[in-house]
Amino acid sequence: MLKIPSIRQFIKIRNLALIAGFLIFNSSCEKKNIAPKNEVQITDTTAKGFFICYEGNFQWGNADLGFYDTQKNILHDNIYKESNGKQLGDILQSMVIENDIAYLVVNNSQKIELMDAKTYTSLGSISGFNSPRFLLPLGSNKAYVSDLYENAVWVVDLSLRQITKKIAIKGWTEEMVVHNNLVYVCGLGSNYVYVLDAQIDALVDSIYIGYGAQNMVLDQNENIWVLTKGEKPIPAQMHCIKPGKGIEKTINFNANETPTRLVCNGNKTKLFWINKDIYSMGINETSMPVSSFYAAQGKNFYAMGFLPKQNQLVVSDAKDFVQKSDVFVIDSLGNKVLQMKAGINVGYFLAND
Amino acid sequence: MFFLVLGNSILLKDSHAQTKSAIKIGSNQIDSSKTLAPLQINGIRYPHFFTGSKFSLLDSNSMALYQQQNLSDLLMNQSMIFIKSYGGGMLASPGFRGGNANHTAVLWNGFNLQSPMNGQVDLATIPSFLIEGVAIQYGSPAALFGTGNIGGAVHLLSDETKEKGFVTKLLLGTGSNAAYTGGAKIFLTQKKFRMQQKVYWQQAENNYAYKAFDQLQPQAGNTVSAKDLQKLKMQNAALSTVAWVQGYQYVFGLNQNIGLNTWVQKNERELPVPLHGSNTHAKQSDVTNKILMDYHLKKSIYEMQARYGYFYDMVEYQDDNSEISKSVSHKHTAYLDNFIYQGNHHLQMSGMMQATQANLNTVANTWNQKLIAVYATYKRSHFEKLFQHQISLRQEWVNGKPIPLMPSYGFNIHIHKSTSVYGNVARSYRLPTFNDLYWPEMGNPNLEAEHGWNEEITLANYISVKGVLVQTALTVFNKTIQDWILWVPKGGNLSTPMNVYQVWSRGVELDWKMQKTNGNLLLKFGGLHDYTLASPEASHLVQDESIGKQLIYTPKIKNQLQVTGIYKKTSLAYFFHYIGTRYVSSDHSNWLDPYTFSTLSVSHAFAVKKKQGTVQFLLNNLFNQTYQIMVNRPMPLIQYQINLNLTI
Repeated sequence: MLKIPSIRQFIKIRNLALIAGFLIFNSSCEKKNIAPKNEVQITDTTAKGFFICYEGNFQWGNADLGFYDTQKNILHDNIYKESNGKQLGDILQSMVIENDIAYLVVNNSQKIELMDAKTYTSLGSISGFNSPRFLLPLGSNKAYVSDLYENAVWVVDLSLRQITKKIAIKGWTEEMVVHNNLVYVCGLGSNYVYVLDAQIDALVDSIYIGYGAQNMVLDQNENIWVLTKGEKPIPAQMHCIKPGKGIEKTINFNANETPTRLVCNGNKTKLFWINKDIYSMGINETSMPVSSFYAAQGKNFYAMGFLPKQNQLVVSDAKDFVQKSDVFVIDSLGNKVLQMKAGINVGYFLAND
Repeated sequence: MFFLVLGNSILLKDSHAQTKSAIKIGSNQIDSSKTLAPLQINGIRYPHFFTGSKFSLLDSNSMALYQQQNLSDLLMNQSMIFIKSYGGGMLASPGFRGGNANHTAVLWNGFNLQSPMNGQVDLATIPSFLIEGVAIQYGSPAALFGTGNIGGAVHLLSDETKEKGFVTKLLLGTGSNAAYTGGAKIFLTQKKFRMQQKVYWQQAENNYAYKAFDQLQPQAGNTVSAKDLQKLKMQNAALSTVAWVQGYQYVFGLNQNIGLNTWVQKNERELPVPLHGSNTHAKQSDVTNKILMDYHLKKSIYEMQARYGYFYDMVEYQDDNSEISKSVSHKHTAYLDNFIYQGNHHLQMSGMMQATQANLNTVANTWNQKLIAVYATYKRSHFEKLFQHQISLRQEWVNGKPIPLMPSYGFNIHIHKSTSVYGNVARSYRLPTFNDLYWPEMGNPNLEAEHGWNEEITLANYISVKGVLVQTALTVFNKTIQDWILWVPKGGNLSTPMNVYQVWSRGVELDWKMQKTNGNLLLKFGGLHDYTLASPEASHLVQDESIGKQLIYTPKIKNQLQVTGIYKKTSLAYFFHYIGTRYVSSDHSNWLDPYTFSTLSVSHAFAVKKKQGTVQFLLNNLFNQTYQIMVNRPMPLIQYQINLNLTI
């Protein structure tokens, strides 16, 4: 005979059923995440295109590299991890290719990883840096490496794959260019561009330059353009340095503007930079452009490079820093010709044609 | 051990069954007689005006095991709050119901301890020994407590002894990794005067064992499993804490008292190296000085409280690579609270003024903020208090600029003598922090406050059948936040905060407890279960892939189970925790897999010449799990602790 439970019993049963039901519900609600398979397998080791550096997130160790094949219009994603079965490291800052070896500057892993630029296989690493930023090959297996914290520029023997010495410079050193055996070094935390003699590996001059030199390019006239970030009350500035003669031209940005990522086109006659939107200016112009070359329209442009062969700009939108970046390719007329999803915090581009 | 009290009604003396075993909070305020209780050391503010709010209480028994540990360890083990810990003894901040660390207020005597710089409270810097209880309030009490109360609030409670004369409590503890702890509490209780002194000291090498296992998903193909890795000792992780807390209260006449409370503390911590970091010998020093003064008057149906608090916080950071960074804040807060208790009508009317000044490194980086707020609550009881409801309203001005009105409504219905339904609807907000507004080169002074609505409803049961006590509470909540602040690229190496997201959080929570006594054996079972979905529903970012996806560091699922057996004077307790997947990339391209960890404790009470004592032994991470709460910040493998507590 069916016994009808009392209210107390009912409540007790209800409690137990509630607990059991919730446990079952709760434990069945979470599916295990499975990493999406990288569908693009790397088969063509002669591919032409450009590398995309995935900076990743600070202290996450999720830096990697993409390669966009401009002939097949295919992005090879996470090529370092896919090719080597291991993580590249923490914060891929920049890269250079010299003699078919890619030198990947992995900032917070304090190393420069060497990778075959064609097969993407790891060739070892150079360690001993403090916080490396950029590598500048100087020929004869010598290179300089700038550093965020070391108060120096490192001298590296690329054939021995080791640091040979360092040249003391106060503060954060950043981008570098070489002209007639003189290396010009951005001092991002100082008022100077430093001049090193690459033959004797010594600091020979410093050029007062507003505050915070961050990017540097060499133009067709062999002048050096330097973009500074400024620090109140000094605004961000664009300087043109004539080697051996000093600053030839200075153009101020408006207060509170934060221009960055100065690059030069293929024939080195035009400058491009990000100042929320993308701006462009000929090297002979004397004032800032009044309108943008390419409007951001809400995007958070983060890094920019130039593809000389295609005569195109490539720029990334880092969004919120914790999701994959969008990468845009923009032609010389300011039209978007390509958009793709790449890695987290795309921070550097390098053409490889 | 653990005791969970469900529902707002625990705060009301005149509520039903479950109130009886609750710890007393602000008992003199609850007492409606015309004569004040001798003294109230401290407790929760506005105890009459939480109708419809869900609370969990951790009383002194619950906290006994954690006397050597900090508030982070306590809440990680004993509550549903997700603690974002960067490692043993390191930065730990609370988050619940899909909220950020700066969406959870930590309140001491009703004063918000959130840093004006970053809006957070580092729970690892608060020793459990210095507090006698914790009340966790779910949902938003913004109408009463203002900014930062979006996900909920953690109220730190101080208890009062009832024994006359001097009572002294001593703590001696040691544990893994050269951890040594000492503490003393002295209570003096007299008819007109009450005093408490608490001193606390801790020092630890904290070089805990861990495995350098990169748990960020997806992993590279050749990743070695954690089992194959050797144990390492954490470097640069030593810590020390010194604290002194005082409380004085004096009663004069039949209806007035004055009080003074102070809290002075210094924490020194080395900051451990994350898996992909280098040892730059980073260390941080935290100094806090808190001074509270209060005056309390009660006349017939009227009560008045005037309170003033001064809070000084200094954080100094240094490492090998950078200059010392030092932030200092001074906050002055004054409250005037008026209460009228007339039968079934309760009314609270308050005003608040606050002035905050903060400084970062140089005089040029000195920032000020002035807040003024007026707020009131009206509560009505019906049917012999079987139905209670209240409405609150708050208006606040920030540097003279009004923020939107903050209303809330809560209700509590006893539908059966052991069953109640309660819930509330509340608007909430969070002001941008000084870092958000003014951080050099990156702050955004044009930021708007985050704001939104919370709704929740709870069904609570409390029943005892044939000696088995069963207690459950099932809660459903819904929350929206507009203008969610996010840091986005600004240019170069800079970023800046923007009002970016509209976030929707919703979920179900189940708390339960069963208890059975059989002769000298008491068995307790309990569980906390949480299923939370929290996702951006709209964004100002272009083609934002995070839309509709679970927020980062917000596990959908949290489960906690505990079993306690008490035989005569000996108890054995086991705690199990499951924390679900935490996405660390907002587009879910990176994540951390779920983890579990367990804790086992044994304690034995004894008496020697009428002196009471307890010896406790605790094993954290019982099964030696390799896990990370935050990416690449390994948590300790198994650790032990031994405590000796004496009451003289």
